[in-house]
Amino acid sequence: MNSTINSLPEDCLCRVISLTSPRDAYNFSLASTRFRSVVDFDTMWKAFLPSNYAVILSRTVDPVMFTSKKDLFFKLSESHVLIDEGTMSFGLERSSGAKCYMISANLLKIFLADAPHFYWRRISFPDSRFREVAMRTFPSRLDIVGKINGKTLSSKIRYGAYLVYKLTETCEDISYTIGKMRQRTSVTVGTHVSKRIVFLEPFYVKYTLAKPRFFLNNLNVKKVLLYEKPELDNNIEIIAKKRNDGWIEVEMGTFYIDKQEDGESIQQRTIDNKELKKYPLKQSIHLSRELQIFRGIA
Amino acid sequence: MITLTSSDGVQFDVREAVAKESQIIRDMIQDDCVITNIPLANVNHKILSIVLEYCQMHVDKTEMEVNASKHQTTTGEGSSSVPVALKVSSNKNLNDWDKEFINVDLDTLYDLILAANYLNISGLLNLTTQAAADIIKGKTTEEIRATFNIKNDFTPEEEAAIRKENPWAFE
Repeated sequence: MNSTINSLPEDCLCRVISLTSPRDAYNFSLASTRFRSVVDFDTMWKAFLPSNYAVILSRTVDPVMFTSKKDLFFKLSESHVLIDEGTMSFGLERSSGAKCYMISANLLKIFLADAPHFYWRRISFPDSRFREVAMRTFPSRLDIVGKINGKTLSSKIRYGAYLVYKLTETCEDISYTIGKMRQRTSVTVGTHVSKRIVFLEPFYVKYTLAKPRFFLNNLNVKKVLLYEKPELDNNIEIIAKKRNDGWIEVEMGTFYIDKQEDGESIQQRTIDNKELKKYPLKQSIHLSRELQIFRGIA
Repeated sequence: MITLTSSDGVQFDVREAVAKESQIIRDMIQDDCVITNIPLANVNHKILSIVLEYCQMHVDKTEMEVNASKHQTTTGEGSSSVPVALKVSSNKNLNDWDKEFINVDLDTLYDLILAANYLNISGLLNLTTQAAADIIKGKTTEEIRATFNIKNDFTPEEEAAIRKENPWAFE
């Protein structure tokens, strides 16, 4: 028959592409004008949306307006939408279509948050997407637990759990102290535990640049261990990163859900042993697809 | 037995159960129960023989399972865990067999997708489209063009504009 890929009808091509990912679809669409027209099909973008997208849309605080499935995919991957009376936000990771959530501080279990001595205060903060954030007003043990139901996440995606926060200017003078302080974090899914040692101060790297040995250790160990020996994916030192939106995020651990049924509730936790002299302003725990570490290794 | 005739005139005699893996043949047989010869205008003998190999294997496996579970219930021996284990192992074998089966060159893969689509064999269509998707996954545009022998018919301006729209996808 001497077929080429162009002998396949559009619905077959569409079927093939919907089994890849949005990123693959874009690369495919740029190969020829015919492929590009296939990638604009609504049925294909429906495949990249979560199967229960209608249910999720019914949970949004403000209705999400969209003209096509592609438009909806773009809206959800460009920015999160608030869901569940504004206690969580939802978005899609654009290259894979993975479901991502952010849990507001109101849903986190924060040690001493409700103690009478005002270790923490809930305040409204204009930079936050959530109505309230938790602000630490007095030094205490930093012990924060967040939970999410694994069934609400996408399967066959490697996720990362992040803590998203800000450090107030009033403690600029002691930022070196907090940068040096190691915090322990962990992410638990069933029996799987992923642990990290993190530095909450993103500029810590500045101080350590003078000691290249340490800096190299950090970056190299992270990549090699994660890929070659996944069971050693623990106690890796992570330095917080500044996000584009001005918040700081730190990876607390990673996990993988093979099948949806496997997803019990997932816990993330950040703990420090020593007393912090700094008052981090914490927005939320952010769950998003782990990208930086798992890309570009093949 | 049913006779299937390929587009190039080769005849294949198959059991009705094997032919009925195809939804379109199943419908034909249901509409006209005395039908014995079905001409397939869109599938040549080379592809049809591969398609029938797939159907034969899947029918055999299913029948084996049914027989095994029947045997289990008539003899009444053993716990329910036995047929489950048997089913799992046979599924695993079938998956391995599928994997080996779909290890074909691209031209054959296109023809198999076309045939599975035309004959409406859902298992084969899933298997073939997934195989094609796996080839595309992780490839850059240039690699996709090279793999599928595609001529770039975009103007450089058009291509630049598309890249600019979603720069993250092409990093």
